[in-house]
Amino acid sequence: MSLPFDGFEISGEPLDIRALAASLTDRTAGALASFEGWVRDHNDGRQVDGLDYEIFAPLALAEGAAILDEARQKYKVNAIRAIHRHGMLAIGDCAVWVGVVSAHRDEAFRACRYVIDEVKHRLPIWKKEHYRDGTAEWVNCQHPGTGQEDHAHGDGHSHGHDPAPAFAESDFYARQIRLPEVGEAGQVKLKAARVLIVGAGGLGSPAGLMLAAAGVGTIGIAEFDTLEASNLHRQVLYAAADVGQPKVEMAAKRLKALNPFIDVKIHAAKADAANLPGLFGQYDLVLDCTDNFTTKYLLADAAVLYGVPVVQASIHRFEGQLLTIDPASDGGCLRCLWPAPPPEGLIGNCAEVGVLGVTPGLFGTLQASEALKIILGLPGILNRHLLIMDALSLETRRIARRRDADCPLCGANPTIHALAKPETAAFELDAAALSPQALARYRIVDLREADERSEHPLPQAFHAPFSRFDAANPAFDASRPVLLVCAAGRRSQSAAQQLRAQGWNDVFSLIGGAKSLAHLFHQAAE
Amino acid sequence: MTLPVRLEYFALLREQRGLGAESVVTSAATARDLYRELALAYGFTLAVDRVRVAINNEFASWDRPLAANDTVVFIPPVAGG
Repeated sequence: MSLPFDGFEISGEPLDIRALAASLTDRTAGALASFEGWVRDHNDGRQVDGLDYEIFAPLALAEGAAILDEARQKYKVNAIRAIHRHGMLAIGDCAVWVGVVSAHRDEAFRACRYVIDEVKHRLPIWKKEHYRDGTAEWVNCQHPGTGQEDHAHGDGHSHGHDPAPAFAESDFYARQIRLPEVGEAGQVKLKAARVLIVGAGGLGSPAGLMLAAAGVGTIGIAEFDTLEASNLHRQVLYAAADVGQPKVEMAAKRLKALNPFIDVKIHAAKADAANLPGLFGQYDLVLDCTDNFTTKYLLADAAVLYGVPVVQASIHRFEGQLLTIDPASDGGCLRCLWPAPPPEGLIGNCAEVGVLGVTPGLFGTLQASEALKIILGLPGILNRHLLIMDALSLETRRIARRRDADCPLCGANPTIHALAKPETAAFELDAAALSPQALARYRIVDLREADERSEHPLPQAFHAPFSRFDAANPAFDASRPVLLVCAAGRRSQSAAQQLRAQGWNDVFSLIGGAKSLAHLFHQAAE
Repeated sequence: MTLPVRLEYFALLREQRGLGAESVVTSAATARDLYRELALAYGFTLAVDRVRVAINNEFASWDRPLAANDTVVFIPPVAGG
């Protein structure tokens, strides 16, 4: 005697209901409950001619099997068979069939009801309704994993319902699913993964393209800049026609065009201490594709503080460095290697020292590779090494690293417990926080040129025009508390930095320049 | 006492040294002493505490004594993207 068929399937052929029911024949069972879902001739007040079902097979099969397992556990039935159609169906066709056999009718009904409800709710199935007026529309697009009936449109989303491609999602990934290290189970993991790319530039471009193509289900892009012509030689996400446009929107559009089966979220803001906690809460993995030490240290700190791995890449001319900060490993963080960022201007950025487009191209691709390895659970993750590579000699080194017990962030006695607030250096003073009494402590030095001083005159100030400023030989006594003032606060900041580098630690710069002091002189005079 | 060692320079240090790798014979006892000698000779602008040293493919303490035929790699942080 053959056992009843048990399992979840998808089919492109019409369902033979009689044969399906017969396949469940079981002499130990007292009941068969079955459900048939049919294509009806109307929906939402519109006349429907037919339905086109598209199914993401790897996930549907895995999720379908999971639903059947749950029902077996819950209701202790003998066997369950469920099958869902894909492709074009006409009115009256059976789109889904569920059959349950059990000793008694009650469990059979309940299990059947459970399976059809969960299948409707959880399976990644897209329905295209063909209306009698000749038009068609994709409806009831469900999100795998989230159980939501529809996307939350508007805020943060940039996808719409792009026209669905004329092929199944599984065809997209066929070559990588063939790898035993990926397989259908790996593809399900990729679909469920949420990866944030911070910086959609030279590194973020190839990283974003590779992750979207690999089918990472949710990709977030954080970027605040607009596209410039000088970005195009390395930022391969964009087209010449995009110059002047917000990069985050162009990037999302490009990734959605490449892979309409994924969700792309946009975060049009500069990453900072205020928004990073929220962003890190929405993703499983973050790629640091930024180009400055301030943001790199913020992201590195956030990895440890919020327990989310960050894959960092940084390049310099023809060289690059790559590492994964994995809070769960003993490989340590960025601060274990370099406890603090170097002073501004010491290392040089791409704008200053130049860069060949292929260098970030290589490293952004390596970041994507690292992300896929992490999601798929493959070996070789750089969580205990730093990779350095020179694209000219093609020499690479994989240098072992360990958590440093003295690390200010992840060591035995950390001194960093929160993300650094947007930088206002201690030597920069805010006029709004200065009282006339506090101001009286300082000798005010006006760095403006002679022809600028009439705008917001500073009667008590000593004049030392910036054009003749020499930090090694200042025209004023820098050993007493000095407040440097210019028109906007930039020259005074630079002069204060230079004087402090000479060892004059009582030198300060006024944020915002002379105009921000006007009200204080007023008060002091009264 | 002198030791033969292999040196590699990355990023800014490569530019300031004018080459990526070389073999030298040094009398320096530690990586720190060696870096200081090189910094003086080639005008490195990065202080020793801004740079990390790796010896034989492992990050090492600046105070680690050098051994014959060590490969010593000097690595500054970079931030380009």
